[in-house]
Amino acid sequence: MIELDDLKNIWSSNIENDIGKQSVEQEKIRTLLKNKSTNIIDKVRTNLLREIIMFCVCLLLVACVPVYLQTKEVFILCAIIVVVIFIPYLIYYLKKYRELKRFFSYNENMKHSLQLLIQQLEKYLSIYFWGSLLLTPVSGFLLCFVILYEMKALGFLLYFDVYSSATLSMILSFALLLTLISYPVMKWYIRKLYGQHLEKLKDCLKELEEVA
Amino acid sequence: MCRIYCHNQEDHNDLFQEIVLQLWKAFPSFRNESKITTWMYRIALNTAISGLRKKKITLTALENISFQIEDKKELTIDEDLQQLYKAIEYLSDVEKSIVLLYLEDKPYEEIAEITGITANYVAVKMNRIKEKLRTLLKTER
Repeated sequence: MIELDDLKNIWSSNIENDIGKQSVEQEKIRTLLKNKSTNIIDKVRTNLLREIIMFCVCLLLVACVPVYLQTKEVFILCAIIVVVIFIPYLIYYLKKYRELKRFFSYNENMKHSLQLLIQQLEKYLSIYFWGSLLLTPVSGFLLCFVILYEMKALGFLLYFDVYSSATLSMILSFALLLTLISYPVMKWYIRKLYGQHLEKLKDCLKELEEVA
Repeated sequence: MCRIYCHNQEDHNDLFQEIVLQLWKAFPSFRNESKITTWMYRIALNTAISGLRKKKITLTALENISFQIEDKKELTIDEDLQQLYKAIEYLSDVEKSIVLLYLEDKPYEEIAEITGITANYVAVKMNRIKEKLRTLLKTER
């Protein structure tokens, strides 16, 4: 039965030959460098950029609601949503994006690099999860509100008061129900997105951290 | 390295490209604190371990490594070798990195520097890997 040490001998005697066969020309390297990276941090950064764009679109939509409905109450509500939720989150996202752009852990040894990478990924997944979860009730609430308001304006709900506390509670309950439903869905989606890869990285780190 | 970590040609090419890209990106930060080869192995192994690859497990890629066979005796060795390569595919990513550095004839101190574990633990790990490979080979027979 062949042993690893036998392979080592064959490996070293064949490696020179192998390198000769597979030498990469300068032009090929230049082409390779022009290609897009498949690195996990670059992928996370692209996702974060998509999130930022999505947040900006939502922010614009929220900002358009008071312009469209032209009531003081709606204006105050939208202003609160923008100032309390959107602006802080957007600043945080942009900060995180810049941080990821500068992040490079591959210079470190494998163990340290994995620790840094896991830390970054966990942070990002947590931001992504809570950010998306926070957007669900806000968009649900605003969407319901605009639909009901528009229906009343069109004369469908004549005896219906959109600003009554009962209606607002109903819309709020609907938004919360939507959030409850989206919680497991988001958990599943995030796990599908990077969760399994994160588990793999954690397993590698665990293996390196084992005490001999 | 690409051969050890990838199970198909597409992944092999992707990983090779990614390693070149990361080496290029990291080169300005190389501070001569370690040997250039140690630094290169660090970048390459970190890229290989942390990369997102398609999980298509086919146990053929390593078998494709061709060695020149000149007589019948070497033919048997080649069969054994292919079985050993198959067994290596069943190792974890960390174990594969240690095997690779061992095959590249790196001393335990340098393997320790690249992986971030102690030289003693590298030795322990290496013994465990050899034992694991022996068991895998016995099971395959």
